[in-house]
Amino acid sequence: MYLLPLLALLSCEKILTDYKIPDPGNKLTMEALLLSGNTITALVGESVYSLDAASPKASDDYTVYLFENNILTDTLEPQFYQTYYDPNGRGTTQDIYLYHSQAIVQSGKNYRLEASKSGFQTIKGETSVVEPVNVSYVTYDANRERYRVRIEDAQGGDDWYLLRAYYKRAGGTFELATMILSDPTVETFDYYNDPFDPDQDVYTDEAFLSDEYFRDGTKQLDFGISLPGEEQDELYFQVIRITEDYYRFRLTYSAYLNSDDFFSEPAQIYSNISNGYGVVASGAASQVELPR
Amino acid sequence: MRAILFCFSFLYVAGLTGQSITLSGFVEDAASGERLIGVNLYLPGTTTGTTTNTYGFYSLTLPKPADSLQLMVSYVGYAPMQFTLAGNQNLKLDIALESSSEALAEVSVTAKEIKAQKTEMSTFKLSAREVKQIPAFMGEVDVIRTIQLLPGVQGGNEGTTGFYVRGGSPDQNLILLDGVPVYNASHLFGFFSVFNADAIKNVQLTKGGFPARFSGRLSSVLEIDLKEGNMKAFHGEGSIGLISSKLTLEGPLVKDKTSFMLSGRRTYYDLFTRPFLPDDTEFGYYFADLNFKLNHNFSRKDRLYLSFYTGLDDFNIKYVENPVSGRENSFENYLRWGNYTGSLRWNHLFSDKLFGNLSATYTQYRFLVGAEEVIALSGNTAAFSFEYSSLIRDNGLRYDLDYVLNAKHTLKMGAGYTYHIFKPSVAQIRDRLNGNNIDSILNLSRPIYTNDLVVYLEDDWKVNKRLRVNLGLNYARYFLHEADYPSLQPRLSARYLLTSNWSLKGSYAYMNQFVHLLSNSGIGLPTDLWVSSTEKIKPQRSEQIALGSVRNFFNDEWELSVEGYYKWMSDLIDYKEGASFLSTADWQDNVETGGKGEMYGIEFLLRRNQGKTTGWLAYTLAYSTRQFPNLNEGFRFPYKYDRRHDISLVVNHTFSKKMDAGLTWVFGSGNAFTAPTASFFVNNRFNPLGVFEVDRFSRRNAARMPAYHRLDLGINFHKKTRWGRRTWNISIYNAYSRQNPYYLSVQEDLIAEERQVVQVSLFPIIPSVSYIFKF
Repeated sequence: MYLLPLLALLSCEKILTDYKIPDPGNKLTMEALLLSGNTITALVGESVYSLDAASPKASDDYTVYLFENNILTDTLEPQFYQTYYDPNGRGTTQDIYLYHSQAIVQSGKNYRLEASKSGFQTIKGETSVVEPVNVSYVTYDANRERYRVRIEDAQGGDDWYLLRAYYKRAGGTFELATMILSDPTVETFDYYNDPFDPDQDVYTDEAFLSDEYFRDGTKQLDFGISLPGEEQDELYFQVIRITEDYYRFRLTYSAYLNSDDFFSEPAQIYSNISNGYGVVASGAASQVELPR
Repeated sequence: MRAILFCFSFLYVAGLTGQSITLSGFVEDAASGERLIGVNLYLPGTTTGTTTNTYGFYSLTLPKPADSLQLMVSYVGYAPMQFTLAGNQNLKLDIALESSSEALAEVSVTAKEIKAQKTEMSTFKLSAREVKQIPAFMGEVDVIRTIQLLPGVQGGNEGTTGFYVRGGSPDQNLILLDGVPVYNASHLFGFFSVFNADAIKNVQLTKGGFPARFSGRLSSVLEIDLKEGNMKAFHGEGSIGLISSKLTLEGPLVKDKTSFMLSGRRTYYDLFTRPFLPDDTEFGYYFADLNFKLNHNFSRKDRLYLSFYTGLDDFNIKYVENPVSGRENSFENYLRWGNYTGSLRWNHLFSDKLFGNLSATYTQYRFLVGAEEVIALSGNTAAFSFEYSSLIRDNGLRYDLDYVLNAKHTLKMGAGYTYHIFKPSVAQIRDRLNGNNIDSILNLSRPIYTNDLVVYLEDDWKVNKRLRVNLGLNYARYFLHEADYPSLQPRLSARYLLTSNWSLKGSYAYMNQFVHLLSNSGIGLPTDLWVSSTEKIKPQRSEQIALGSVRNFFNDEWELSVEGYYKWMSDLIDYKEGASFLSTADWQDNVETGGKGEMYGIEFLLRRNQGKTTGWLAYTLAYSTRQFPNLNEGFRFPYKYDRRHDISLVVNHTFSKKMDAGLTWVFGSGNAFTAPTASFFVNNRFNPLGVFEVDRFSRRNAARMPAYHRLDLGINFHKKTRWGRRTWNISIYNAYSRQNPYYLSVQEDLIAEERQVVQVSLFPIIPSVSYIFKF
C-alpha cells in the first residue's frame, strides 16, 4: 500500500543527451593582486566548457604583458608553481605556472595586464594602485584583552580595507593570527561565530572595513588576538587599502564557497577581466607592531 | 489625491436624487441553510443586478418601477429562481436555492453566470464541487493544485502547492481562510496544501484589479471560505485514501439557530510503518488538519461565526543505544511546523441597506527543528537538547460595512488593526544533569513587534447602463519602533458593456506589502522565514494595470476572456548570493534590498461551467524579471518561475448519475535556472595545495530546463446506499509518465570520462484509489 507514495518520493535520474547548457566558449583567465612596493605575480589560465571532459589550464604558453600608465613595461615570465591533481575524478594531472614580473608596484600608478594565446581573445585587466593609510597603535586593555588601533585616511572616498594580524614564528616565518572582533562595522566573510557567545565575538583571519564607517577620516578599531600556544617574537596589525574590485572578488568568492548547499542560489565570482574571467586588483599595505 | 476625494464627493451628491426601492435579504442553500456567496440577483433583460457578499447578504436599490418587477436569482450548481415582486415598496426577501448537483445529469436548466456583466476582472471563482472534480494526486484533491490550473497562475516545482500569480512570488499571495491570513499553506514540503477540500465551501482568486478592501500583498488574494455547517440536518462525509483519511461532520445544534462543522484529516504513514521498525527505534511522519466552525443565528439581524483551524506536520526519529552495560543513550530528532488560525465574526444587519461585520482574528505559523540526547548511567541522567524555531503571529480586529447608498452607488468601507509578532530565528539549548537545568534562549535575529493599520473606502458606481466603475482608496500604516510606513493606495476597475454579453474591462491597483518571505527554495519549505519590514527593509510595492475583454456566447454557457497586464514592483528583497536560512547571522545581514520586478503578459480563458461537460482551456504568455543592484552583477534577470508559455486544459464530464470523469493536461515552458557554463582556476588562498577549480555560471536564471507537461485522469463511480452515497475515485497522476525536470545538474561520468547533464525527476505515473462516503 505504501509502495506508491514511497515510489513517488524517490527521485529518478535521467541523462539528457540532447540537452546543451549554453557554451560561452573557452576563454583566458587571469588573477592578480598588485601590492604597492611588491613585485607582480599573476595566475593566467584558460577556462573549459562545463560539459567538457578536460580540466581548466594554467600552463606556460601564454604571453602576458604589463603596462604601466599605458606604456608596455614588461613581459611576465612563467614559473612552475605546482602540480595540479584533478579532484573531480578526471584522473589527470598538469603543471601549473604563475607569471612574474620584477617591476615594483607603485601607488598612484595605473597597471594593466594583458594575456594572449593563439586561438583565444586577448584579455585585459586593469587597476589603479591606491595610497596606503596611516595606522597607529593606541592602547591595550589588559582586562578585556583588546588592542585599539587608529586608522587614518586623509584622502576620504569610497575605499575598502583588508585587515589582518600576523605574528613571527620562532623559525622566522610569518603566520596569520586570528582576530577576535565585535565591531559590527567590520565585515567578515570566513569566520567562526558562536551564536551562544554573549559577546557575539567573531573569530577570523581577515576582515574588511569600508570608508563608510570613518568619521573625519579616522576609524578606531578594537580587537583581540588569539594566538597558538607557540613562541611568537613579533605581532603585527596590517591594514591593506584595496580597490573595490578586490573587495567584490573576495566577497563573491566567499559567497561561492558557501553556496554549495541545495538551498542557495549559485554565486558568481566577480570578474573585471574584459573578454575573460578573473580579477586584477591592487592594494597598499600599512602595518603597526603590537605590544606582546 | 485631491482629484480622488473630489471624485468620491461627486459620486455621493450625484446619487442622492430620485425615488427608489430596495430589495434585500439573504440567499441560502435550501437543504442545508448555508449562506451562499456570490449569488447573482438581477432584473432579466437589464444590466441591473447585484451579488451576495461573503455572508450571503444582498441589497439592491432600483429606481421605483411603474409596475411589478421580475427578479432572477442565479448561482452555478443551483436551479435558478425567478420572482415577480411588487414594485412599490422596499422588500425583504430571503431566498433558498435548490442545489442541482444531486441530479446534474438530468437538470438541463442550471444557473448561468454572465461574467461579461461583472465589474470585477482578474478573478476566478471555484466551488468545492468543481475542486473535487479535478483528478486527485495520491487520492487527495487539493484547492491550490486546482488554482494552479488557472490562467496567469503557475505552479512551482513538480508536485508542489506553491503558486505564482502573474510573475509574483508565493509570499505575495494573501491566503485567507475564513478571512484569516494563513502564512504557510503547505504540508509535506509543499506536496499538499493545508486546505481540506471537504471543509471548503467556496474559493475565489483575485489576480489584479484589487478592490480597496484588500491590502497587504502584491500579487493575489485567495479567499477560502469554510462550510458553515448544516442548519437543517446532521450529515457527514469522508474518504479513505492511500495516504490519508478524512472525516467531516456537520449539523444543527439547535435547528435553524446553531450549527457546527468539524472536519479532520490525517496521514498514516507513521502508523503503518511502526510495526516494521525495531523496538528501540521510532520513526515517522504525519500531517494532520482540524477545521471547526460554529455559527449561531441570534436573529435575522445578528449572526455569529466562530472558526478555528490547526494543522501540523511532524517528522520524528527516536532511537536508543546501549553502548556499555548499564548505560543507555537515547537520541531524538524532530522537525515540526504548523499553523493555528481562529476567527470570531459577528454579522449585524443595521438596515436593509447597511450590513456590518466585526472580525477578531488570530493566526500563527511556527517552524521547529530540534534534537535531544539523553544519557542514563547508574541512576544518573544527563540530557542535552537543542531547538531552533521561527514564528510569526498576528492578532487582528477589523470592521467592515456594506452600504447601498442608492441605485447607482454601493459602498464598502472598513478599518482594521493587526499586531504582528515576528521571531524569525530563535535557538534554545537545555542542559540537564540530575535535575539541575541550564536553559539558554538566544534570538539569532531579534524579535520584531509591529502594528498594521488599514482604513478603506470603495464605491461600486453604476455610471450608466454600460459603464460601471469600482473606485477605491486604501490607507495603510505599518509602524514599529524604528520605522513608520504610511501608504495611500488608490484602486480602480471599470467595465464597459458592448452588448449584454460582451464587455471591455480595465483596472489599476497600487499595493504595498509589509511582510516578506525569505525563501531559497521557492517550493514552500517550512524553513522559509517570514520577516517584517524594518528601517533597513522597506515595504514591497507594486502597481498593476490590466485590460481585458469578456464575452459570453452559445446561450451564455461559454465564456471567452482575454486579459493583458503590466505589473511593476519595487523594494523587493532576496537572499544574498550564497546565503540561506542555514546562516546563523541576523536575517537582515543576509538579504539584498532595493529589488525591482517587471511582469507582463496576456491570458486567454475559454470556459464552460454548465452542462454535462464543463471545464476550461487556459493559455498564458508571460514575462517576469527581477533586478537587484548586487545580484547578477546588477543586470536584470528572469524570475525563477518566469514561464513563457503555460497551458491548462480541464475537462469534466458527467456521464450519468453514477459516473463522472475528469481530465487535466498542463504544459509549461521550462523553468529558468542558473547553469554552470565553464570552469577555471583561482589561486586558493586557503588551500595549501594552491589553485582551485571554480565554476563560471550563466547569467542568473539564463538557462531553461526542458518543458513540463503532464496528463492527469480521474473517474468517480457513485452509488446511493441505504445510509447515503458512496463514491470510488480512481485517479492517475502523470498518466503517460512524463519525466519532468525537478532540477538539472552537471555530473562526471567517471567511466565514460565525460560530463553530462543529469535531470532529476520526482513523480512517474501514480495511480491512486480512494473511497468516499457521504451520509
